[in-house]
Amino acid sequence: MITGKLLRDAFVSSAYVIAEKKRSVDELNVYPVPDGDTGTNMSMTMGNAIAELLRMPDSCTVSEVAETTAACLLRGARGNSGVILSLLFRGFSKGFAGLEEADSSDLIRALEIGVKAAYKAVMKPTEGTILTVARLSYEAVEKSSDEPITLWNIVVSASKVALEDTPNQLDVLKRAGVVDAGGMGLVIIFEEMLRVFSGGEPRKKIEATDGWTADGDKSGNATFVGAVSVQDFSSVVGEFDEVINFTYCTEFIVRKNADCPDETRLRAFLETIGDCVVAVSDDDIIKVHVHTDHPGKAIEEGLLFGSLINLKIDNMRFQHENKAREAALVKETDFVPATPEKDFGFAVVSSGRGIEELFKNLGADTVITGGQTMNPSTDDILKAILATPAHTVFVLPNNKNIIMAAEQAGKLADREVCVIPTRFIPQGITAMMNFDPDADFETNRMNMIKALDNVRTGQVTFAARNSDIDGKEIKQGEILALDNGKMLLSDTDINKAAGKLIKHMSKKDTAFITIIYGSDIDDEKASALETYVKNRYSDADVMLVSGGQPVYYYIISVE
Amino acid sequence: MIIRENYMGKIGFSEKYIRSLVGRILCECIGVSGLLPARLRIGRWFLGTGGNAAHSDRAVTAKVIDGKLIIGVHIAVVYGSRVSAVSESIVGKIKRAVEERTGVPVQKVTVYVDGMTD
Repeated sequence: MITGKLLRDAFVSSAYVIAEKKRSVDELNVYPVPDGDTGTNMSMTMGNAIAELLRMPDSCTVSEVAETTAACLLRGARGNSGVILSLLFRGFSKGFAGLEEADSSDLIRALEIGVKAAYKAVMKPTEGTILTVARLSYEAVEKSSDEPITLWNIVVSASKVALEDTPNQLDVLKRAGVVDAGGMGLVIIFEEMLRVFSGGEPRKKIEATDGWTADGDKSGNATFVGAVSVQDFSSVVGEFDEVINFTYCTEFIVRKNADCPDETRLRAFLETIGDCVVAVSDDDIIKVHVHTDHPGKAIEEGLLFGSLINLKIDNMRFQHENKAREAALVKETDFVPATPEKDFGFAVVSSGRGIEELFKNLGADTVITGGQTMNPSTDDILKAILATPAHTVFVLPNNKNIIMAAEQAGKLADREVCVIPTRFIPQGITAMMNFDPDADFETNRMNMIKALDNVRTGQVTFAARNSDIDGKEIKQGEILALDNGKMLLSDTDINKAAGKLIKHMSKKDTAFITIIYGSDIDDEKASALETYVKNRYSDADVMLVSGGQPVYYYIISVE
Repeated sequence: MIIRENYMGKIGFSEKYIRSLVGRILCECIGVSGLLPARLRIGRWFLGTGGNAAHSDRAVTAKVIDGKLIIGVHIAVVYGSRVSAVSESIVGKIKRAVEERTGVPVQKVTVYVDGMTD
């Protein structure tokens, strides 16, 4: 028979165990999303019941225990797994209603009610989750007539088998090579209940986070036990002493001897050799912390009171210097985002001094250096976005390989970001020219995107290696002319190629021809091309700009 | 129609699609025991139809404001579940699933708990 006390201890103990193991359950999560902290959610859900349960006397009935647990879990349920857990425990509360003690048939009924309630809570239950584990555990004992402990043994082994099988039912689990996290949590709870049912000593606290003896909280388990670990403790003390009077921070724990004197005597001694003295004790130990120039003396004195554990001595002056150095380093690289001052701003990707100037004159707030063969990273773009002092930032990638990175960066930014998919520098220039500071966001966005179609961009560059494009054989070093990114022709002379390109791109009604020449072209050569174009297209406005861009000899836009 | 643009072109999602998508996701949400029609808030119209995905879109409203989606869902919860936990989980799940599948940012998800089942 399961008594009220036994059930209470089992529930409390399993709540502690799931809290201890929550990190390993969290790690099974397939989706790294905020509500995917299955272990944490389950431990917090269970943790709600601990305080209430501990207040119950040993004479309590199973009915009272189950009802209290269910009520607490309902109030504290967090996340999907928490909700399911609370429904399963509600099964216990219903199944044990009015009972002093529970036998096998009561346990089976409790499981049945819990599992059915959990299945009812979702219209299309997904198999391979905590639901499946709960259901198969119940089905394993559905017709059993064993005594309670044997019965629960079967439940635990069935739940383990079901858990092992979850990857075969859910593809995401299989691909990630894990079992279901919620199911794992349930198995942990069932297992601990079995241990307590079969006479195991119930847990009294979370073992790994025992505040006095833990060497730091590596497993991240301190949740609802208000203990302070040694490391937390020292950092709290450390915060308040800015002036270092003594060199060594000395900490240790004294395990009291049977004839241990009062700890105030230890404290009195420590006050004479240093400052920041802490000496607190409970029945078994004294926790000691002191800043002193003579740690040896503190330790010797401590030995008079008992044996020492967890000794830690740090040179604070040395630590302080290191910290100060680290802080200085952080300060240097620390990036401060600009506070938004205006409605709209521009972050532009470009290469070449001349083109950067051009964009700045047009009103770009930040210019990210990059382009063909040197694409900026998402992080670079994000920094530029954050450095733009505007509520809404338009990003002009000016290269088709950068558009994706820019969109990524936009998602990470704290302000409104709109990526205008400009594929070439001239498109970026046109987009900025079509920007109207008085218009609203949507109008501007549409205007800029529409304007992109009206620009035709020609580029003159060289072949980086021998290749074959669209049936044309290209030799390394040959001059290539590209029309809107597509290979048009090859030539041996740069200006000739540019001339042919402009001829191909221009139409009868061409009004503007802009020629941006790169860092590899001297002014003379550029003006020769300008004169040639001006003579040929007397109706069009021809503009020559020194862009200073690498890779492309000429970037030509025709409107 | 919700239009999304990238450098290769335009992608349009009909509101019907968004509503069906959200409806199907709702059927898999833990704590949702039924759906209620958004425009007819009386009766147990298709409460407890066993997750009939064919009609689940009727429990969902979707509209677009400034290129962002605003979604409303009308559900019934099971008795004994914590409604705030269920709702939070639904909001997160819908936002994530819609943004992942369509790329359209979700501005807001409103959960209307219109009914309860045993």
